[in-house]
Amino acid sequence: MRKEDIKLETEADLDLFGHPAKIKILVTSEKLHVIPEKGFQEKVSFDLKRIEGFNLRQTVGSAFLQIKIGGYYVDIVRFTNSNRYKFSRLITQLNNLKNDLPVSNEILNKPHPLLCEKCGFPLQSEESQCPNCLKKGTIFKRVYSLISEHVGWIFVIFFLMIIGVGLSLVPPRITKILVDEVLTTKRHVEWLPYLVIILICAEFLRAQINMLVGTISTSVGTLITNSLRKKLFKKLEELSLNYYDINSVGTIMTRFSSDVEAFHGFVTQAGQGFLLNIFMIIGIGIMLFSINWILAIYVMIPIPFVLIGTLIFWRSVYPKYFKVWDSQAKLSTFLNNVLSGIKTVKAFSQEEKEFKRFSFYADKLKNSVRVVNLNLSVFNPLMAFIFSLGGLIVWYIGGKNVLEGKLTLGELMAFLSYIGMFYTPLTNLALLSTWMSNFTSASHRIFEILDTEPQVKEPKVYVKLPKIKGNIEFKNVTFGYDPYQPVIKDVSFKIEEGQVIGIVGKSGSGKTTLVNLLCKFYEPQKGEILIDGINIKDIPSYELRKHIGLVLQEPFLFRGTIAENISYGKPDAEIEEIIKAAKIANAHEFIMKMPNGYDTLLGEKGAGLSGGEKQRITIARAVLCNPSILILDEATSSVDTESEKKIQDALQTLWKGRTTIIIAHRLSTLKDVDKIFVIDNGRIVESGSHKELMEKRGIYYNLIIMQSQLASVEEVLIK
Amino acid sequence: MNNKIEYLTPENTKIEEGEFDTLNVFLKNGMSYKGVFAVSCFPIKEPTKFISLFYQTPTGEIEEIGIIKDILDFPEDERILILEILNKHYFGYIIKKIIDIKWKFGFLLFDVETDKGKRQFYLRWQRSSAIDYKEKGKILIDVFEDRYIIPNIEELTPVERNIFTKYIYW
Repeated sequence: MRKEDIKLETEADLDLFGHPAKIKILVTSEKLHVIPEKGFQEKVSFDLKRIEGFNLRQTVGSAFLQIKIGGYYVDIVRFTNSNRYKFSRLITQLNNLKNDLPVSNEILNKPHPLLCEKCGFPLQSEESQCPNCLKKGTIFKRVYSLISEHVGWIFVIFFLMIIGVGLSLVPPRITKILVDEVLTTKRHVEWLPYLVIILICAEFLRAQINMLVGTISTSVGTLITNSLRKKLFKKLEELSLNYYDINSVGTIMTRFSSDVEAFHGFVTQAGQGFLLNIFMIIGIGIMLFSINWILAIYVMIPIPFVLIGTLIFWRSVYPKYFKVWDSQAKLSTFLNNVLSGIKTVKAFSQEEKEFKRFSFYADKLKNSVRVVNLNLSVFNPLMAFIFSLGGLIVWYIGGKNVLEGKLTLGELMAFLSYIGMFYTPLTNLALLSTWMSNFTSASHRIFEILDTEPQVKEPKVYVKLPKIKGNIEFKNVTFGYDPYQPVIKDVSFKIEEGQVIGIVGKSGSGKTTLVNLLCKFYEPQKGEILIDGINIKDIPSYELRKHIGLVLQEPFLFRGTIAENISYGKPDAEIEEIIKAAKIANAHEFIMKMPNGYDTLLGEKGAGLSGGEKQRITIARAVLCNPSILILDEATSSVDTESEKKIQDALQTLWKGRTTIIIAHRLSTLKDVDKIFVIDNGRIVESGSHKELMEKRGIYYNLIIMQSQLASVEEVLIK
Repeated sequence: MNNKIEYLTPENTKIEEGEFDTLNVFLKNGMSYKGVFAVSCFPIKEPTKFISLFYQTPTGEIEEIGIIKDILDFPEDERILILEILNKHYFGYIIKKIIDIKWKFGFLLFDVETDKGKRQFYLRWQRSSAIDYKEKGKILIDVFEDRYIIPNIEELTPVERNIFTKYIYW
């Protein structure tokens, strides 16, 4: 084999048996060679002409490149998941080669899209910024950009804080004068009331300034968190559904609560935390040295012990706090789960089992809290002892100095007051690095959301779509939630304006995915979707969805009145429009039976209504929007027969004159539609009217027969 | 849908090695399947019991042939073939030693020794990336979805356990 004959060349990292290996894959225009350089696999070659197809078989923790030969698939190369992207590209290139289309070997050797090209650090998503390559200080620049509109207030806090520190240094100084000039020497007895007044003023002013700093920092902090929450929520609304497939609601909620609070903490820290502590230490240090520099040096002796002790302690205790938080979260999740399903627990007499599970989580919490508290109960007295050592040194050395006349009693008293204020800020400063690292990681998590680009890109040019007819075309559409595992495979079909289309198929065959793509919740990896001849890529999602009415299997109602729920998609709807929509949806009758009619307040997820009633409200919601395209995704499958009849009647009125796509399990509901698509394993395998498909005696026919048999069994059971 | 479990026993099933290291299955009822692969119903609790055999239809669909209740019921030669094909379905690195874990921007960089040599990998620092394995173990799923198994956390040295539970505390 000559080097110039090689069209494609890549490498796998496992042999077929899962041993680390180096397996070369070389492809010429005629043959595919698998050449092991390391590993237990044998060398094999295949004629490209003999190969009927290529496939990527995903297993647990690794994947295989398969070729179809002699009618069945054979594993020829194995690789770890980190190489999936490469082999997925190889399959495309192999198919191109077989179909005499141009191939590119370079594409195989491009770096993994989830790794930063510069430093190899993993990215949150393919288009995310690499946090590792962001310049140092960038994070603080970005933090500044978020708080910049409040920076004036932060300076005010800063200024007030300096005055506050100055004021807290006054009382010990006054004490010194009081003791030396008034109480012991009685040189200026008349100063007593004035000195006390100065003390009162200093304390009063300090209290005022502390109140002011607290009020401003709380107000600024809440303003920052509020605007940050709004920014985050706006971003979350913009993000495509794939973001929610990857990130759990719980994780996102945490970012909203604790991570956003970290910004509040930042302002509070700036005003009342580490900055204040730094100024306090500097201020008190100056005072101590100005009173007696030798004694001040003695005061410094416990400092290394305080700093190192605090640092060591928190480094070891901080991770233990994670366990406490985790145990608390687990316990509350467990309680939420069990209490919301208490009926099931009782019905299956599982109270004892659930109690044991509860005890397990409760014990875990108890143990983790105990560990932290035990640590704290050792640490706090130890620190208090070290602090008291500082005081004792001052008492001893300072006392001697007072007796020898080198120091006045007032100076000693002032010294003792200052050292009482000196050690606490030191312990707080020792925790600065822990606080900083928590703040930067919380900031990173927030910026990660703010920087995430929606998978579905909005067009650069805003296209307004005042009216659409409802012609739909799918052109060679391929899509997979995991790009390596397509759910929709090269699907093409056309729906004419005003047609009513049924889509049937097994669970997981790709029916709902088709609808998700049409609504632009996801973007196809290949192919295009056209509405009235316009690629939906070029239509903003917001404009597109205004023309699509979607009724889902699980009706989702928000907390609010029935009227608000019906007018959710058209908040400015007139009362008459709301009633008319409810009438079309066969909902008016049951709404009017409620004491508060349309003003009835619905609980969480429509609590208080039956499944059928909830569904009719969502239908009324779709009616009110008067969409050109109506999509009913298993809209009647979770309701009882009586409700289904009412919903069916409502839907049949609704779909007149508009393009309608109905996904249904109960095939009887599709008898009158214009065309039915049967979808199987991501492909449309049959299409035609009910009559045509019955005559064809294919998958649809078999599904109908199966459902009729089930219906007969039900009839027999009734009899 | 057929609700009955089709048990594959040595009496009704013959297993042979096919071309290109594949598995061929012949049933007593005359059906035969090529390119068969095996998946365990309980890969963590009972990896060698209740093994389901599948084949891929010419259109690429996966269909189940039946379930082997216990691999030990089969003669040794067939047992080896089943185990080989079953092992092809699962791949993971067994962590023997944790050298270091570093936190960076929401990711954990693991430096470990595994049964297949030294490895470094990045794990997203989130609950779903470290899931329970048996009673006391953990499966770590890295950013590429490669799997790393710690069979028993209590068997790690105190230092390793300390490094590990500092970050993976759930």
